[in-house]
Amino acid sequence: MMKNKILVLFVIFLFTGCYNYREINSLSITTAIGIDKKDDNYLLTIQVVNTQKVGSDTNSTGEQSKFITYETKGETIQEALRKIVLESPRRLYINHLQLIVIGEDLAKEGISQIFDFFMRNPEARKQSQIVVAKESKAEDVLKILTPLETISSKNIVDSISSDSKYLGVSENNTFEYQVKTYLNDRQDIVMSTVKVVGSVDKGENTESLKDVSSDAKVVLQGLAVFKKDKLVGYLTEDESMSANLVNKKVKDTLVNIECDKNKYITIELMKPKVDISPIQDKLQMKIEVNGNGNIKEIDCDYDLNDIKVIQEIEKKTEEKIKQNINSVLNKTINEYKTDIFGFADTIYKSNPKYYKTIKDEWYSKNLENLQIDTKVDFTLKGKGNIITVIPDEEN
Amino acid sequence: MKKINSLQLTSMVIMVIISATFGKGFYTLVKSSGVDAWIGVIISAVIGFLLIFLFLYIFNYEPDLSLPEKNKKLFGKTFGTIINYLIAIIIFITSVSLFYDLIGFISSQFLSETPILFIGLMFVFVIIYINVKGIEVISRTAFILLIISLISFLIGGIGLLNNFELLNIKPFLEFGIQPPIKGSIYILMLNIMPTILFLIVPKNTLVDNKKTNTYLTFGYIISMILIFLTVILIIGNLGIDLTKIYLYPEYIALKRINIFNFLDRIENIIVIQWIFCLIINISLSVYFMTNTIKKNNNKLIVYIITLLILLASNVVFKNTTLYNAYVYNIAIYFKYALLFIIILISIKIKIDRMKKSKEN
Repeated sequence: MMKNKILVLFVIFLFTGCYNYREINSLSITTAIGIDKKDDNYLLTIQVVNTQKVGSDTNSTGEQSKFITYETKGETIQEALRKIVLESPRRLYINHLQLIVIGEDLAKEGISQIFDFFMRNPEARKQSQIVVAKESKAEDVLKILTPLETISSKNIVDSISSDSKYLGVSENNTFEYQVKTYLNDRQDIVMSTVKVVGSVDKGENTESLKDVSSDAKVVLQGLAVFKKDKLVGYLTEDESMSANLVNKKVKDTLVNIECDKNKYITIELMKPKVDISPIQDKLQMKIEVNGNGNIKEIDCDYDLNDIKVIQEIEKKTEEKIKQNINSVLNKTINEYKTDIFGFADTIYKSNPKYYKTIKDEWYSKNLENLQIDTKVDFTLKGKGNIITVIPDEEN
Repeated sequence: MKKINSLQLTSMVIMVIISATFGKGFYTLVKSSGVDAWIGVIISAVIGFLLIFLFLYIFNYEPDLSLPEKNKKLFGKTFGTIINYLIAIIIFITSVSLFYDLIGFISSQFLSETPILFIGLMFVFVIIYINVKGIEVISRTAFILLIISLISFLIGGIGLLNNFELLNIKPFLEFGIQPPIKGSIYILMLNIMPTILFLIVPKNTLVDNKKTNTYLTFGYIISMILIFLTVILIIGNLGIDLTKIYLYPEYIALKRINIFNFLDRIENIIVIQWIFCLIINISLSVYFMTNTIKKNNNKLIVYIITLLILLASNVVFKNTTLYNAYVYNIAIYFKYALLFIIILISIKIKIDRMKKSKEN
């Protein structure tokens, strides 16, 4: 009996997690990591929650920031990440990582090592966002203070989430999804981008938050297009929305159609359904878009009670969506020579035998020769709270 | 003496069958069948009935005896003992690899700084304890843990449905039927073959032994359904490319669980079902080996075997690369040997029965 009691005591002390325990106050909770390349070394900017400030009642304005950034350098990402102990007494904890920012220069060189590092690390959560710092360095993006969210990386992540719900310029995809796309050699990657607008030096100062308009901002931009693991170019906002539409990532977006010279109608396209299907044994693809929408704003004197006018708006909307899709198809296929829509993957999954015959020359010849037939079917469902157009008195 | 009931025995069988799906089972299945792994599961489930019927055939023979006693009766003391020890060695080797899988998973995902020997000791204490208490405690523990496992499986399954994509399991049979057949052989050998463990329980020690065959058959069907759902949900969630690169894709897939946007990050609770299954599998293996060596659950033998499993799992497999190579290339041959023994026993039973009927 005594032996059992001693054994139980032994077990309690050894096996209840006391062996390699980590107290929360000995950890640096990392919310974002920015990765740049400088002199053949990785330059890491690590955004860590300032646990002294987060949760306190005082706003960050004029006070110490609610996050701290560390900069480290190393030949590999892991080395750079470990070197943080030279600056910080706390061990980095990346299980709550929300955002990975890649500097533009590094993105052009290739990002496969970033994929390898985070996928290999059991502590790193694969559901974080990954973005490219367009025409900027990742370090600058993570240093800018934001007024609405105390942690700037959360600001970016939430913006991407809102954008993907209401506009569709960014792609709300996880890090793991990007790796999955990268591993699939029949599709290329597109990634959301952010850009620093304004002065970085002013933007990293808490004083800047006192102004109504910030001196520096981090703004979401159009998508970055990759060929394998290298950045090859960017899409405009309109092109990004169309790319996301074809990739079935759009929940809600806006389409502007010109109804008169410099006058527009804004249509809200809601929950569009997109079907991409290959034609059997032919280098042909069919993209069908079906969607409903509402008029959100109108600048032309249209009689919205006339069914013919409604039909005309529908037709114009369809043409505009089709035009935008063809524009992004043309840019990604003919200019960037990439397959961001995974046409090769679609053919492979529906007809693997035919895919075998075309895969060797897919990027060199077949992708460019792919005939894509785009069909859009749009139905106007609502006009908002008013049924007519408020007339422009000057006209 | 009536000790356990058919439901408890079936619980053990279900846990033994599904325990190999995680870790090594999934690795071999995906490596051999690729995206058609789920077809491999269906094929193995159908062929597996033959194995189950073989086991039941042996189970129903001399219902008062356990498998080692049956072997001695069938083949004589010397040859019977050799067969028994051969089976016990194969079960020991299997237990070592299962134990390595268990502590390897915990070490790589949770307790990276804890010596693996300490992690192993945690489970060794549990396994020794329930083994010393006997088959009643193992079976009761299995029944309770199975209920918890099924609940966590249900939650996990519902949570993963949200991200399931049919495109991830396409194209079907790109390289023909051969890869799924190869995968099905791995399931038959790694998952279904260890069912032999239940033969250590003599049929007549079951309270309701008339229902046992039906219970076990249903238990087998449930196990295969669970394996099928696990495989299809993981590949449907991760896609084959990610599934192939992760060390534990089944655990990674659980990280995606999101139920109604409020229940997430529960992978560490859900994954406990696998740990439970492995504990039961190894416990039953220890019970089998102990009772092969000496009847009536000798305490000292339990201690020695369990500690040997722990030590061997630390010594034999130096790293996961070696372990994976062993599982994919070598482990299956031990199971073939087991299959051969099972067929041999069945044939001997058949011959004996024919002789008896002729005599009568």
